[in-house]
Amino acid sequence: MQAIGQSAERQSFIDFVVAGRRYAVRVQELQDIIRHEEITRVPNAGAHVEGLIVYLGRIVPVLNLRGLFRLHGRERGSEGRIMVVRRLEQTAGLMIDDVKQVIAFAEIQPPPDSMRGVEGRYFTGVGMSAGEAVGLLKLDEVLIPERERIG
Amino acid sequence: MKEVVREKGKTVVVDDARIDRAEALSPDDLMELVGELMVGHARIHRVILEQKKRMTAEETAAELDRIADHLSCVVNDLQECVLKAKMLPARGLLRRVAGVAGKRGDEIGVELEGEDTEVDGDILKELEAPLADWVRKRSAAKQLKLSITNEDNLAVVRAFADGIGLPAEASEPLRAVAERLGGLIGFESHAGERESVRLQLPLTNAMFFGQLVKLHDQLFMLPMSGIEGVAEVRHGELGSSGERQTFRWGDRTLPVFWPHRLLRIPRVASAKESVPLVVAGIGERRFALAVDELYWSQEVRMKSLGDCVGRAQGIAGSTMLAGGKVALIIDMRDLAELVLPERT
Repeated sequence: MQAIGQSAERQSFIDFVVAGRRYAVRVQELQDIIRHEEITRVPNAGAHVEGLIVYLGRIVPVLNLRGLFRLHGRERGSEGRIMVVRRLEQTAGLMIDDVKQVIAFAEIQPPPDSMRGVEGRYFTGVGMSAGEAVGLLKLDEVLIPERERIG
Repeated sequence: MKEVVREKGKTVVVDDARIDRAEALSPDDLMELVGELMVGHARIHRVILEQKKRMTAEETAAELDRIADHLSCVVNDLQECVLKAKMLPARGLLRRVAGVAGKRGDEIGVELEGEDTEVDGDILKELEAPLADWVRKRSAAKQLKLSITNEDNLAVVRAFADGIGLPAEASEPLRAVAERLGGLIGFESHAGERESVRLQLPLTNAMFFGQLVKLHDQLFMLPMSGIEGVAEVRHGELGSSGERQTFRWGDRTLPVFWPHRLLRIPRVASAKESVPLVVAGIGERRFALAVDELYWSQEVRMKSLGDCVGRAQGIAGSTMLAGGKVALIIDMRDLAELVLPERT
């Protein structure tokens, strides 16, 4: 947490990787990054649910963007970690493969209808970093997606 | 001023006027206060996050952290108080229901037992109309007996009629309330002679007791209100009916289910000679659930799965165990629908 708190005029994001693709959340939304710990699977839950963990004495759901976005990229390594994010009163974990950096984008474009096959509603925008598109996650949608569209 | 000392050297200061106010508060008022505390708690969390973000005044953040910890302690205690305040003696319900029989002008005596048994006011309220209906339909009986007792942290309601014996269908409202509250019901009727009904319900809606079991490597909690008993049975002692294995429980033959497949859990052949069974169900329906390990029963504070996770068939929520492990709470109604397609 020490290195990522520098406040800048521009919005700072945490840039991370899932299934070989880059995504980011606002630093204010990041609460913690923790090691892959014991996860309690929830039978019959949607593909976007990885399970439940105990974080700071509370049960917190852990979601998986692979399932939510139906990503078929590289399999995650054994070093998988959980990024704990908080949006309003909802705390949740996201399975991530790698954390890259704290990043500020010179330009943020509005989200396209579909970003590499993933619906645009999951993003607040797209940031460009060294010619690569970084999906800026809209946590309202990611954490509480409309059930019927997940199937 | 009065100081209340709490655990770990933390203190909370409460002035006398506030204590007087607390005594006069209704459960709903108290619940509202808990809500306010929770909002305050959340606000403090936001301040902590802001502070962390700016990376200034770490000490302030740490102090706020401690306050937040303490606040959650207070909230938990207060929640417990509210739970207790919601418990009411069964006296009022029993007397009103007995009054229904009296109103008919018949010379029947209603014997009451368990007037001091404390049950969640909401549950008593749900129970009243079906129980009054039961009594009304049996006002031709020679004698009626009603009791509500606390048995192993469950509310057990018994109604007994002498000199009358109606078919079980005459108790439909009671059966419905047992199902709605996640409890069990059993009938015994000797036509024209006598009949009895027994309901097993949770003592409160907000908190319940559960039986901890293990399926493969995962822990599950089965609500006690839906459990009739447990047994350890040798494989050879199980009967069969078609494809289905069966278990003899008293005078009933129950289907045996391994819930693993429904819950997507590997079912690994055990070297053990016997299998632990939980005789469970909802309302009148019963089945024997085969589990891999049977542990203890304990108080459960349920956390719903939340919007993030959404619905998961067969799972009602989760709870944290003392060691910081998570156990999933089984939804008995879901399970009954899954394992018993038709009503038995």
